[in-house]
Amino acid sequence: MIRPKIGIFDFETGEEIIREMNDEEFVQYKLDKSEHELVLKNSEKKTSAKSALLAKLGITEDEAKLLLG
Amino acid sequence: MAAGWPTKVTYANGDLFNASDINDTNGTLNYINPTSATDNQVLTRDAAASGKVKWANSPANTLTTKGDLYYASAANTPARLGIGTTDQILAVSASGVPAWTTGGGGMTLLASTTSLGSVNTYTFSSISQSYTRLYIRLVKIGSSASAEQLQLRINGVTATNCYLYSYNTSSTSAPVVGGSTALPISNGAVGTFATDGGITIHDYTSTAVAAKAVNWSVGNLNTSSSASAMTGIGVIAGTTANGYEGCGAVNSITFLTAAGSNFASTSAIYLYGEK
Repeated sequence: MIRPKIGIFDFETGEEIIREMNDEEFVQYKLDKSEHELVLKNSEKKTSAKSALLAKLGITEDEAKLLLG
Repeated sequence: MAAGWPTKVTYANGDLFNASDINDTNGTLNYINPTSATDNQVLTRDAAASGKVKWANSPANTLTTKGDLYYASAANTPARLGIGTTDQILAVSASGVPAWTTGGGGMTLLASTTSLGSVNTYTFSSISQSYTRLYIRLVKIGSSASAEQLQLRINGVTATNCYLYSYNTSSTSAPVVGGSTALPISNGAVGTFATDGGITIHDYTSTAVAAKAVNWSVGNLNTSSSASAMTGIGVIAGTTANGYEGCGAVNSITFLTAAGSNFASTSAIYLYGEK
């Protein structure tokens, strides 16, 4: 499997390098990705629950804001 | 014999003048002895000695060291000012002469990216600790994937000894409060992002028991060409368990796309140090 690339500007050498991720970086990349997917899923769940509740109450989002405001 | 002319009448090869051979404009016998001068001195009129000539320093033997500046320490008094240290600027001292001093402000471009298009992660490492704060300029940060988010990581720390807390606000969505080892800079709800803006990390060299403040503002344009503005405030802080010092001084900053897609080829990041 081709791994994603990482860019590094190292001030110690003054050089920029672009290379494939090493083992440690690749593990972190996968962790970050799955964590973000989880955040998105939770956000989608919240949005669906909100829409379902609004439908149940028979009001729009703006009307709900007006009620809570 | 006219004043200033040699009094000696006959000459032979190798003859030298001496004091008795020359009279000056006042009729006083005088002579200039080259052996009493040092290299690069020049002859000049000496008003204090009734206009006689004398040896005096020239710029060439006043400026003794590379970088020296030539200035007047008093009226008609040339002097040298040795070069300052790296990044010092020239100012006027309380006594009215030039003096080198540490600059009072301004930003220095430390580095910029040249090829973000082929990566999803980019790190500035071994960052100089010579500034008071860091400023990061984001230019057309974009990605090909939907629901992407730009995140920031400090010192490569992913464990729980260094937290990044953020309060990210958007004109199109509710504020997000969270703690994470990567700080969200753009809103994750938008699609392909094209983000311009800036991030400031204050007091980044501090190792004291304190949270470092981070603030940013970005303009965002998504795939459907709807624009939103996002501002955020955050802190970099350790935890109780490690005495809140888990982060230390900021010497490395990593930018990543949360969903892992590569940055757009137009994307660029500039890192500045501010005095």
